[in-house]
Amino acid sequence: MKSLLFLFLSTLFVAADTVPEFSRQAYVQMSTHDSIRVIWRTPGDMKPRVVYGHSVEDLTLTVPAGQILTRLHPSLGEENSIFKDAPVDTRQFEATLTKLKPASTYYYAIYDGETRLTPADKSYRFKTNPVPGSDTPVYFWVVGDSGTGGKAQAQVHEAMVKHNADTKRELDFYVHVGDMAYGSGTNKEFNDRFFKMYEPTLRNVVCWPSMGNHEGKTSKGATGVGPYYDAYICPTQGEAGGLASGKEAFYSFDFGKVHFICLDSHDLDRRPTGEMAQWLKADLEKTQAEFLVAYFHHPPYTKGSHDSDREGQLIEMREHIMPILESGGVDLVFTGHSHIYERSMLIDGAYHTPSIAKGVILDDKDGDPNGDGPYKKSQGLNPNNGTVSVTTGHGGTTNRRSGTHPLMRRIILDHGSCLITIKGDTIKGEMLNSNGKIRDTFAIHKSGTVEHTPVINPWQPKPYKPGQAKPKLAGPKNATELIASNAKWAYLGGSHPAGDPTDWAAPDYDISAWKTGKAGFGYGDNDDTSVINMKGKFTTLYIRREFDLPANANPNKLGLSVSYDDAFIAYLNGHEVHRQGVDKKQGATADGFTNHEANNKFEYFPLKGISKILKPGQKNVLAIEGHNANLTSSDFTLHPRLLLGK
Amino acid sequence: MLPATAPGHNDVSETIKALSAQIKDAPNAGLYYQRATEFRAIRENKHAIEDLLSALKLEPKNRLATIALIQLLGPTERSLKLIKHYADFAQDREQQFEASFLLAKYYLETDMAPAALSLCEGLQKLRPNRDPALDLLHAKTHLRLNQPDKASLVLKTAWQHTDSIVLRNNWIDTALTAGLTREVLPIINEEISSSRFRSSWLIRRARAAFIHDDKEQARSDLRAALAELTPRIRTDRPDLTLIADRGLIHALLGQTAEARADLAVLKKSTLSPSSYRLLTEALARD
Repeated sequence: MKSLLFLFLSTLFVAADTVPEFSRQAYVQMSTHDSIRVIWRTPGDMKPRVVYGHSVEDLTLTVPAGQILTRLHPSLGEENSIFKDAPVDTRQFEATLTKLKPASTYYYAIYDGETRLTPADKSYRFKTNPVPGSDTPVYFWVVGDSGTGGKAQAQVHEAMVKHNADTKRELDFYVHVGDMAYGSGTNKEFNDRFFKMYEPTLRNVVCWPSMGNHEGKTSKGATGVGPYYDAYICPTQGEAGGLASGKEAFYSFDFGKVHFICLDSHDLDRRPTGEMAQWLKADLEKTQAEFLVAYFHHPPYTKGSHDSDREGQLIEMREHIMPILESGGVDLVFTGHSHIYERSMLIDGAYHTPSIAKGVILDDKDGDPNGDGPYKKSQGLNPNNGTVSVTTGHGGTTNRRSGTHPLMRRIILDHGSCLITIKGDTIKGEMLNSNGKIRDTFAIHKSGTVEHTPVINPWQPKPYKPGQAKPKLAGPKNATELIASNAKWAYLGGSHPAGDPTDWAAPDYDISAWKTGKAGFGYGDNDDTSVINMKGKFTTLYIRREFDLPANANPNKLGLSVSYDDAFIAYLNGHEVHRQGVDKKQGATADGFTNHEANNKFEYFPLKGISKILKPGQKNVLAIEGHNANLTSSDFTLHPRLLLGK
Repeated sequence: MLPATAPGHNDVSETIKALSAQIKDAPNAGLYYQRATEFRAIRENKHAIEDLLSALKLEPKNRLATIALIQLLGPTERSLKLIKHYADFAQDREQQFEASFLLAKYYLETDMAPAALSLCEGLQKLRPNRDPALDLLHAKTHLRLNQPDKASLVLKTAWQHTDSIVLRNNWIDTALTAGLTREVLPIINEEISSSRFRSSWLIRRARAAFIHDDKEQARSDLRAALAELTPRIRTDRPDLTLIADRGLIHALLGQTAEARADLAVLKKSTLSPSSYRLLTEALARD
């Protein structure tokens, strides 16, 4: 007992010593070849100090408190204040580590006075950029529209981490193309949906961001004020290469022989004469890089959850900004906003509205080194020599497709992200899905002189009609559907059934006043047959239906195949047989929901230990209560099938 | 699954449908503003204006709806009324600054440059650390009043405060318009020697050469600029800023027909006339 108590106390001691009360854990920003920033937040004051060095055991260099910028809530001082929506006691500390060696790994620790706050852990490290212009490979991650704080976002991140561990690779940095903190990019949403989610990566890899429309609800590109601009430190003076923009909203940086350009497609003037386009043009005139990658939030080409032929910001980025980028020799353009993965063929001059394939596709093959072969471009940066455009807004929120974009070679409705390697004379891009599978590979090989003429009758992706996609079913092969998809059910919404919480699931319960409708039930994601007007009104929907169970049915082979968002509890003949995403209780008092997206697919749940509940050869009743985790959720889905395996 | 607190998460039409249902149940200014934002995204400005008016009816001091409506209405009597209304209810210095900035912009767009200038000069005092948008507006106002030397000074000071390359390049252009070359010529030469694309800098040096009556140097630079520019211009859907540059080269070389052809392309485009002002002025001099 004594030893247990000692262990408990020493655990507490170690925890207090090594796990600080950070309100935002340490992360790195704005790396150059000789400097980097380390940032963190605490819910109160401290005596900040950052120590660093080439070995985790030997942190010999120090950034003292006097050289660390402390940013306060505006109520405590206006200069350098953080945005007002952070708690008043919040302190944001920004330490600039300078005179570093290029392309070198350093380890760091944060101290409060003499107390070490971050553990002696090798993950607290960073690598400086190589000298601009040097022939160093670069490997980076691109993700977009991820900021839900939900399971899909976590899976996409974990898939990247695992892939890198398996392939023994380390990111040089990552790019987020916006919508990283739904719904309004507030301080709390940044903490919960961005920093907590990516913390293990952010502490040692710089995230270079572009602002999405959701962050744009609270942050403004023109002034550089808001939670987004507190979270990131982006170049304004050309500190990381490229020309001074004077604004964090748009900037550029160099990594080896690659020039990266970030634009604000959300809330700044997108016209060719606007301040951003003027800077872009000047920046493109000046760069001596051999590769050029641009990224921003609103895609110039998409038919995902957004349509680039209809929406103003998307049209303007295509009509006004793409010509400047392409005449400047851009190789790759990454965007988000549209919740889908779409990767183009090699294109140039595709500025029409609506977009057309005629005369703008320079290479209509798949660009896959193991397929038709890489796209070919001239060495260095050459005007209008071909661009690959990637919409990568599939980083965590509900994916959707509204049509077929004629410039796309790959259109994939699957959560994931992109991993890009630029080495020697080749750019290689891979789309990694949330299960860790590479779903697309393309490459651009830049060598010699390559002159393109547009393909006369280019390959075209298959047309797509909205609503045509069939959901992915799940369940044993050759199973019999005891209750089929789109079956008719009785349902109750807007009130809870009378009686005790599970009375309504019993076979003899009176449901004569309930409505009937075809499954699936729900709203908001275009996958529901019976649309229920429940958003902002109620979160629970009850459904039930009789089914015939064959006399010779094997009860161990019964299972539910359900498309659901967010959670449900299933009952057979009045007895609970399965719960998914609900921690405790049921009906009106159900609690502890897990967010879950239906994603137009069914998941299979075998039902065990139900032989005594079932009535073979008779009518049985399946009842399900569906729960939405949030009253103002953007969607809800409940679509069950009952299967009997062989 | 997501809290639907912000527009833009879903397809625009779906979002409009959902917002319409909510407005039907319990209308409020915020919902009207959100739906107006969606209508704006798909360029249905008429509906957007209607929604913003509805928002202001329910909440006359709604700042976001007011500003969005001012932007949508353009330089009209209605927007002037709204700007003044905003100035009345502006709650802090930032909002007062914003209202005055909108008013200065309105004055400039409605040919009341002296009034715009007076406002800009007042606003500039509130922004000692500079604000590129204000600096550019201030300079534009001076240019409209045919005071390129003053415009140049505003931009030079602003550039020195911010290092913004846009402010620097605008300063160089206005300095050349004012006939001032001493300070800008070394920068131009440095850019010509260090840039990948040199055409815009060669044009600037040619303008400086004309000021010094060195026509030979000017023509040589302009021909070099044209040689670089031509392969960068796609014939069917060009980068319009390059067309403006090419038109200016033609005009300065006295190739009036070619310059007018480029000007015609620009006039048909969505570019604002101020963006090809130099070309227009060069042709007017001929």
